[in-house]
Amino acid sequence: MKRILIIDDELDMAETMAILLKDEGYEATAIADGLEGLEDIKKGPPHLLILDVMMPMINGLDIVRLMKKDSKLSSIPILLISASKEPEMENDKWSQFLRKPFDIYELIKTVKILIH
Amino acid sequence: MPDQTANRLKKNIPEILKRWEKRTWSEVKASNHQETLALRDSLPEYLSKMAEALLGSIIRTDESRLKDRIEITRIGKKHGNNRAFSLNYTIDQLIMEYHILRQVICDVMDKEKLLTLVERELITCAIEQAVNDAATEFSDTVKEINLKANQEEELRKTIRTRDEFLSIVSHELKTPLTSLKLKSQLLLKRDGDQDETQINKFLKFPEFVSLQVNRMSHLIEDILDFGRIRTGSYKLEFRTKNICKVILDVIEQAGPAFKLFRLSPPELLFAEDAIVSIDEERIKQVIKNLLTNAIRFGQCKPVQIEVVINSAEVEVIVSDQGIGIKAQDQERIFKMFERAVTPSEVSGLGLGLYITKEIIIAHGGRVWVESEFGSGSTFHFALPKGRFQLVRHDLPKGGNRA
Repeated sequence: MKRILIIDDELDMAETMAILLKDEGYEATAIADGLEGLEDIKKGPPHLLILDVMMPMINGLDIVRLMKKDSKLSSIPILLISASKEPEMENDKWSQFLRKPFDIYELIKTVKILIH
Repeated sequence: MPDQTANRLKKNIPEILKRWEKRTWSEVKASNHQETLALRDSLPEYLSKMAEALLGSIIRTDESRLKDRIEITRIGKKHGNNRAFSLNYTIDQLIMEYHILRQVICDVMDKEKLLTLVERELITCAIEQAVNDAATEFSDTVKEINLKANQEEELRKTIRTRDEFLSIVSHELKTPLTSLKLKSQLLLKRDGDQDETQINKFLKFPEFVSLQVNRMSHLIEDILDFGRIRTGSYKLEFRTKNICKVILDVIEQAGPAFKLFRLSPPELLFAEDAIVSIDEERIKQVIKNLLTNAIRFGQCKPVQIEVVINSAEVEVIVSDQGIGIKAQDQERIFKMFERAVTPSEVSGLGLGLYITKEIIIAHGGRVWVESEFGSGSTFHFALPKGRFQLVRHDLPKGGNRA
């Protein structure tokens, strides 16, 4: 079973996405803290990371930068989500971007594209 | 004799003009960057007027003197005004142009025949008059240009701030909206698959909706309060209250927030008879703002609320042991749209402490923060002690500027 990790400081939203993705047959885990999420990725890289951009302590873009520097983590597909516009970063360092508010069908469709 | 001098001056205008231009280009630094010298076009006319002033044969009436005076002033002002729009031009350089003119006139004239003391004095006076007019106009125009530039900069800043604010508002409203959208769509998707009550219980949907709607309503209230403060339509109704009772009401309302952050209710250290004259709803808003910040930035560590009575004030102290605020940010955070953290770190409109400060000032009180970065923050607000008559008070339009 493909594993998806969701990191979003809005835990309730992350958990809702996890329930939804479990319904679709994935193993999904929700984490609200960026640092905790990064540790989790290092312990066992997921098949897909869904990552919120605006978070306290360490934001989503910092997590992307750290992952891209680590050869073991740099190839993990990332779905960035934010209520703000798509962030500008040098090169294409993530796989997809979804702007909030998105709906469950957009989410499922994008996840399927990234994970298969 | 003066007639001859005047005629000599008129005759030498092209030579004076040539020499003056040559020296000005080389000696006045800012002129190097000019395509034309501002005084050059009006100089022949100006020198003619000066020659007329030297002309003794013409019977000069008060009216003609006044006319010449007005004309010289006009030329001087035109010069000053032109120079004020030139980049890198200073008043010293403008004066220098006239100084060179005086020297050139005297040199050219003396070369042919020495000027008398009176003639020299007349030339100097005319130059001084012109330089005075030009310098005044230069200075006034520069002031006007700077004022306009400042106003334009202020306007640009306001537009930038408004755009940033709209972007933050949009972000803050979209976040709960996304949660609501996802959860309701999930419920619809699962409808019929399982027992509805079970799904509701599983997703805690009613509590969730209530929380997100409260969040959006709080955001909208902040935006409306901000508008009320800016337009001066923020009304306060004062009544005598024990502030400890008001704090307890807020803590009761904030129960779910403490639960969400897995925090115990705050430790309370209350003085007795903390009587103040307040608009209860607004002071509740202040306490709620401070308590919310203590929870959000408190890193899930205990929060404490203390009420102390000083000689003339009742002081409320809200302390957390969270991330703290850097010294350079401690004043700034009370200004509108300002926050100690970047919008990418923590959500919020950057209005809470601004509204808090405006409310406290409207109560005749003061608010401040003590904090050490990394070790937590302590927010204080102090209100005048005692009982007052019921009064109505409007916040000043545009908010406090202190």
